[in-house]
Amino acid sequence: MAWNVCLRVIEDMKALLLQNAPEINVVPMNGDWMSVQAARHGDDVLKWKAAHDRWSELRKKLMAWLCSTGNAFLWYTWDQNRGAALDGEQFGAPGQIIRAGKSLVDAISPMQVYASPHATELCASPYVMRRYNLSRQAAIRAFANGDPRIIDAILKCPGIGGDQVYWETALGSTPRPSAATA
Amino acid sequence: MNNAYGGVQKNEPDDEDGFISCLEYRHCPEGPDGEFPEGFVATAIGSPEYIHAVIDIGDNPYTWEQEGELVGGLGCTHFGAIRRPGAMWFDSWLKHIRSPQTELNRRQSQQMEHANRVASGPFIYPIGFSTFKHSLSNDPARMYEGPAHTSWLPQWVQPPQMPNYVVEAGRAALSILSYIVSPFGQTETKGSSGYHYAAMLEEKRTKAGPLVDEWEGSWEAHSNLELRMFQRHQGIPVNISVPMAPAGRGSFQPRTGRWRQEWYSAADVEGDIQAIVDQGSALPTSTLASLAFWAEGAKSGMINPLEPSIRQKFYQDMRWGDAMGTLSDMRQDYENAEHNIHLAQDLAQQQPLVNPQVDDLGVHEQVYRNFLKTDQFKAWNPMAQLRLQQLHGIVQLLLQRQAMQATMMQAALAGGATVGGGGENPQLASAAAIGPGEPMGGQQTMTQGFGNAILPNSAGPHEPG
Repeated sequence: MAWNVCLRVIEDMKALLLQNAPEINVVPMNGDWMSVQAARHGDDVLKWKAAHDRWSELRKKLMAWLCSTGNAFLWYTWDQNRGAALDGEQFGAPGQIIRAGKSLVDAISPMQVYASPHATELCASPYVMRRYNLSRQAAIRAFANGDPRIIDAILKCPGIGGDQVYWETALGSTPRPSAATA
Repeated sequence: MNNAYGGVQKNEPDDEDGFISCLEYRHCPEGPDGEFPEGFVATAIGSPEYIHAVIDIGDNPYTWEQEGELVGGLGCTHFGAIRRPGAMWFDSWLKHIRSPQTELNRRQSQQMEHANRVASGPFIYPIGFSTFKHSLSNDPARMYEGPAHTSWLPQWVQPPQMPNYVVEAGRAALSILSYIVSPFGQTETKGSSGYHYAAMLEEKRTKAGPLVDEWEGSWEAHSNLELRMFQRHQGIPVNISVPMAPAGRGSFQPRTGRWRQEWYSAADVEGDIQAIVDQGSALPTSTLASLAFWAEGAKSGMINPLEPSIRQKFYQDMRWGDAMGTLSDMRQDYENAEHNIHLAQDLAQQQPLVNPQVDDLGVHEQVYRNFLKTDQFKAWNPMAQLRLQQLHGIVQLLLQRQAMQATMMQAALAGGATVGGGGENPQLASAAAIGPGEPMGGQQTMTQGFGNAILPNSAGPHEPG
């Protein structure tokens, strides 16, 4: 027989932090009219971001990692090659399609994140790394941009999920399975 | 550069190829003499053991300038549970509650094992005395042969008494866990008054304070990152949908539905701005405690529940803001007042109107007064400002007349006259007359003198937009 009190503690913590969304406001840091206007617009931008990037869902994912591991991360990515396609004429580039750019925010596990072991907080770390798994086709689509050298490198990269990598590192001379090196 | 959009796509025929591991590396900017004065972002593919190839490298898009220096660069925000001094990684609650939980389980198991032994204990019977053996139990584990001199009859074997330390250790573990649980799970505690609920809420706030502070600090950091990135990269305008606040909460926007569309680019948020998070906003608030506060405030006379602004605050506090239309007839008044602000701003429109026989003047006065204080109003065209100030003045005048009228009515009632909606009951008439902000429809006799003096251009009752 066991009373799972851990579950209740974790669920209570989740209830505590998820019950109300944080109330975020943008304020001007001086009395300059431009800053006052920028603060109003910034407030709109953050409200849009919260709805557009579904911060309510991100909060749930964050809490799931935070409660079980004590750490969680919001990983922000900006890509100028995505977003709404606009006619370049109004931006001084007739005949071209210009992308508005797009951001992506994801709540990720601390197991994916690596920072300097000497840093006492994240912002003091000189670097941060994120490791994730990607299918070869998705990697080609995301990174190759048609460059045959990158496509070749991605196709020749040893895969994971099988035991070929471990075979190679453990036994050295054992040839890799052909599927990974095709 | 093309950044990584991680994850496996749906319907991807990748199973035969398998997956690769991507490593995205973001280097912060260093000082001007450093090796990487502007930082960089690189993506490599490989396996958990080694890097196979670097497939993407470029400028760091996650930096911004602050007081002449390049800062930022990581583009991610850390959320933590229990801070450890001098360490980046936070502790989890699980780590600290695991050992009392293990202890509790062990003691619970021992107690249950003992209880099972007591409930179905074994028998002992004298050697050679097997006459009743199988009539007692068919379980050989429960039947023991004992020396014949102990007894001539089968007996229960008495298990030893449960040691007290087992019970005490279980209790101690449970009390540790209850201390952790109790601030956040008090549903079983019954409050008896508003003060009791307030004390419970206070305890919860005190214990959860550091946690909420960490949480909100991280949201603040992320919001500021979003703002800086918008300032740096969104050179091309983007169409955004901004959710509008419900009516009556100071949205002051034309009624175009629950969302309004705007085009914003980096230039629109150019300025010295900062995102802040209201402290304590993530704390759960007890509606029951708030209700008790309101009830005690009204009982002691500190709060006048009949005042429209107080009623609106009450609805918001109870989180009934969106149900205001059901609970009150004021929702339309708030919408009309906000629409009037919109009309006053647009000089091409007619002068906004109020109708004291229909509109709740208290609500209108409150909405106009609040708006007149805002920077938004100060940025208006002077003619538009004059129109709204005129309207506000008229509403104030009408309110004064209503108050004067109520005084007159009280005086008349004191003299024995039966005037107004109260009929022959002077108390009812008085109550109807002095209800603050109430429409004056019940007192036709007294209002007909200035029922039409409501507006600059006398165009008739206000039509809600």
